[in-house]
Amino acid sequence: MTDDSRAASGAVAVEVKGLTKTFGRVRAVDGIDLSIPAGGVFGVLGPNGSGKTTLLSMLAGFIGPSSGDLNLMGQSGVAGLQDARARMGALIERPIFWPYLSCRDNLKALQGIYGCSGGSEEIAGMLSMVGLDGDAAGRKFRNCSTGMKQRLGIAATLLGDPSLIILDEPTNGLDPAGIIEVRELIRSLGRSETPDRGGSRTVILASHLLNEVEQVCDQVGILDKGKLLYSGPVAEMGGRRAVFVRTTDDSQAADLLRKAGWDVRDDDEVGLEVTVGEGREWEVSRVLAEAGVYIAEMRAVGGTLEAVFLDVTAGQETGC
Amino acid sequence: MLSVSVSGYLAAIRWEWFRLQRRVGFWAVIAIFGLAVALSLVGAIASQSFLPTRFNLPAHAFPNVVFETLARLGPFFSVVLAGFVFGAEFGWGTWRTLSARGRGREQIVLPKMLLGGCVLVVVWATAWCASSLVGLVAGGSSATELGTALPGFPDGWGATAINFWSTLPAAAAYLTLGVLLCMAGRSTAFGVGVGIAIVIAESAGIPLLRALAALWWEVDLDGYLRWTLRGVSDGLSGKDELHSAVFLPALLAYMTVFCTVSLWIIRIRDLDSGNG
Repeated sequence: MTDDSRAASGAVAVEVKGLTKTFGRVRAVDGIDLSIPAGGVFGVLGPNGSGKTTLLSMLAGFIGPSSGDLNLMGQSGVAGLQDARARMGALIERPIFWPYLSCRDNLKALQGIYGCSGGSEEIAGMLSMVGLDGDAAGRKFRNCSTGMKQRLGIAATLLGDPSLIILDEPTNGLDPAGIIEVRELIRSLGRSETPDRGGSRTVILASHLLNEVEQVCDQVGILDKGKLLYSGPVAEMGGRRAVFVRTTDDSQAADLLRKAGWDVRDDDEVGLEVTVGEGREWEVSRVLAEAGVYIAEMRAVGGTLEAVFLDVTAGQETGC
Repeated sequence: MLSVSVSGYLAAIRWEWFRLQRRVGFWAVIAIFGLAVALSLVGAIASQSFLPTRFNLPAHAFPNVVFETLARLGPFFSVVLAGFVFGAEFGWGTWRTLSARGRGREQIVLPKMLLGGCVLVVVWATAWCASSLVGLVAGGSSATELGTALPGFPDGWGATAINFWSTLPAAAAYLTLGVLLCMAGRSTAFGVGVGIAIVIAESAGIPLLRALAALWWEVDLDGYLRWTLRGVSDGLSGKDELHSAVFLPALLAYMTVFCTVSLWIIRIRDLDSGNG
């Protein structure tokens, strides 16, 4: 199914109205209205604590909403949601498996528990797809690295070829090559169809990384403090106002750029992301060169999450 | 609620067993329990040889020796078993894994309870077969031998079997108690810890309380204390003057309440992702 035909079909994978979840006095999700179209990859973007995981946990049925309506793949009510969730794979918060079982046995157990009919071939295929074949497949889950656990979590969500896949920060703990592989896998899943039903598959990807959402998603919903700030195409969500810079001394460069008044993020460990004004990228190189710090790499990237939030909230304030 | 087919529940039990049988701790507990049963049988055999007056216990007395062991240790075993089957899932966060794909909470809890019951039946059946076999080999061949005259020994295989198997529903009741405690506390440590404390309090504390009440306040607490879980399980195996037909419904009532409340707790609660 093409993007155009998906859009034309008007099918909705997830629809929530007034969805709220409170933990004591904290409103983790605060009256969200959201419609996620069937097919493609939908990003849920927001900083830590914005309510992404709580929202996804409610979709998966791990926690119950305090109020609001939820409709999954056209079904609602207890029995309807249970039926819809049978066609949903979810990796939320962190991969959770039985620590004393091997990767292969964990998948085997889940396949049996979920009633998937793929047999050992499906398990071998899943393990191979996420790079856990060979010796890694026999390693006990408790002895796996963070990246291996994450890969196993992704494999488990794909068991039984679900129509709706929810992935909550799936690239956490992966090495750069693994991140690229997983992002490519998510993109291909969003473009694929569910063979046994002929319908389009929907992937919901939660992330706090703007560039990840930009690379992978077609549509995005931006959350902050439990509220939905924006929902729509990724291309329309905000200006590109940042540069990625890798220097001879990133630590000193970060200090210099902050002193010059720019917002600098250095949590990527392999460079800096600097929020700059329109057409002022050259000033970054000037400030650094004057201090004897030289640029090894510099390229435009999507704006920082904060910049997008500023855009979104500014748009709301001005009624745009 | 019970919309899933019988084959679905059987499959769920199978996959519960798939995981349980791979836990070293589970087999360690089985081994300890088996050792206790074996030691009681060895003690029975030794008593025949080393007492000043040599005598042969009748064959059916051997399962009765094991019955005493099961009656004492069964509640502990059941509570620990509940921790293995139910409590551990909280620590790992695997309740989430189990409840994914739209599986109802009852589709998880009921197979676990049935698996716990199956394990108890198999353990009890093994103990019965082993003790009967030892009795047939090492015990006297006649029911008229000295052992039958000893107080506390039933006078035949039928009475022995009733005694022996009466400890199974009692153990099942403690299993459901352990399940409830694990669910309420969301942890193995809480469920097993409090469960064992209750078993000890019932075994040791209640007779003490009864004696103190009678001594100091001249109050007979028997009527009340009989209806504790321990009192009911003892009553079922003929240790109380009331007929066991009274105690079985009481035990079933306990189990029904414990199971219902456990299911209710897991249905209304949010499932967290554990602590690693």
